[in-house]
Amino acid sequence: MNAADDNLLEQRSPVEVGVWIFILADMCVFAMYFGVFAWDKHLHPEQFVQGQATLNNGFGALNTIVLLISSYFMASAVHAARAQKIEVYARLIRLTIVCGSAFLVVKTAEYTEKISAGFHIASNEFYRNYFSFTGFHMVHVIVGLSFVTYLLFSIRTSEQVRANASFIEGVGLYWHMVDLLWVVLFSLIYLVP
Amino acid sequence: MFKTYDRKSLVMIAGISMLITAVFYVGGMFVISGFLPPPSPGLSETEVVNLYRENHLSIITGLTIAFVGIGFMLPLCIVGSVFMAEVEADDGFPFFSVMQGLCAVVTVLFTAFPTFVWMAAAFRVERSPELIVMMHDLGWIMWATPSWGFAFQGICVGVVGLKDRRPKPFIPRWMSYLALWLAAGMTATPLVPFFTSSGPFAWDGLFSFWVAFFSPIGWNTILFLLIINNIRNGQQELVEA
Amino acid sequence: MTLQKDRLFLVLTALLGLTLVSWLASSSLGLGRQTLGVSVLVLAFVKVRLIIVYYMEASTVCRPIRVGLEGWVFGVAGATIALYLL
Repeated sequence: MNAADDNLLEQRSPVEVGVWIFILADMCVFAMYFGVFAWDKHLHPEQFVQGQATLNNGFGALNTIVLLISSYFMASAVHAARAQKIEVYARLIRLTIVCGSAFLVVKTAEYTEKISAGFHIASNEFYRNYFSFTGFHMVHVIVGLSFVTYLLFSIRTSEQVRANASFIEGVGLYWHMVDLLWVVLFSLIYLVP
Repeated sequence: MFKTYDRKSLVMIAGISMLITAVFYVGGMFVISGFLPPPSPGLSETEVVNLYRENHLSIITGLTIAFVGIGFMLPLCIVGSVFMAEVEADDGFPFFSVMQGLCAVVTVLFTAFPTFVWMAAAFRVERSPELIVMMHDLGWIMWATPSWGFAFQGICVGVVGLKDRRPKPFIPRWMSYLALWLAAGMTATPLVPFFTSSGPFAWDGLFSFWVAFFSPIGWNTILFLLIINNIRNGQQELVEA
Repeated sequence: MTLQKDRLFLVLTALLGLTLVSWLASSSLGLGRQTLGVSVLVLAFVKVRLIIVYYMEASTVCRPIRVGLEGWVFGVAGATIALYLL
């Protein structure tokens, strides 16, 4: 093995390139969501100001905090798995699931509030974007949470962790992607005036 | 264990069907009938009726060519199932391969049915405008909304592709991940019936049409190039990783 | 290992801090509409990049993917802010 090979090994991610391609492709779809939101905001400024005023920033901020913390737990869990600290890994995975479920609970409360106030996906451009983009994001949270739950129940011994190392890394990446997409959605939908 | 026939002829069948589907469907829908990209759902009754009255012949011709072309998706998808079944052979019943083949039938039917609905709308253009508009809407909702057949195909191909641990899997692993992403990209289409005017989720919209229609085409184009490359290199596999 | 964990926690603190700043800025600071909007978006994409670099560990990825990720962050940030300023 020469120096160039060494370099190659150092740079290589433990995760398959395909996982990254999947994540980048998904991020590009969300990039289109951001673009559509900003463009519609440009076309219907008043509608968006009014719509934003009806949103509950508290729900949005709470969800951001919950998801950021869950991402921290997930990153730590991946590090624990690498270090073969199974107890720590299992505890962190459980904490990730708690935070992810909290996100879904808050999201449900928020949707219930909006729907009982008479808003729905076809109310106007603002609500179309609000419900569809946060809804697709929620589907991503549910998918991610299913994978994390699978980790909790099916990958628990140190042999299993070692055998599925790249799968654990992949789930972690997906969960971070869900997190970072929400960071942008929160700022764009709730905060930007 | 399924012992497949001569692989080379199967690969040729897949490539030729793909080509026929593409040429006939693109020719029929985009060029001759002008149905794609889709007309806006916000068209008025008069505009829709005029669309059918003025292009009566080209619509029927284009739609006929398109539905003939769509049929050639079947051999293509079933060849896919044959290669998938080899991966699954050791697991007993080849669930994902059979599922993929059946979902291909669903995809083909839901792509072909709307062409008949539109043809019926164009069949007696002198009939009541309301009925023409109704057929028009029915066709478009049927064309743009049902995505699960295709989404399940993507999931099946992706799952089997990732299960394939042979040194030369039947498709490259990154193509499997992209297949899973295709399935995820279809999640927007059930929103089509909510939007009667326009916007990204209407049947001519960014997500319901441009992403949901062209991302599978992109994936299949890559597959086609891989197959061509393989035939040129005299490979026996569907594609080489 | 502890160093790694400390760094992860530091990043979390930074992320939460930035969230707080952008929330407070949007609710109480007397910034102009466009200034506020652009700064909130810039803060959001700073957070995104923190997550990509420290949580997704983008430095370990092969070059094309790294370029893609960075391109996504800067491209999408630029495009979103440009569309917002239209």
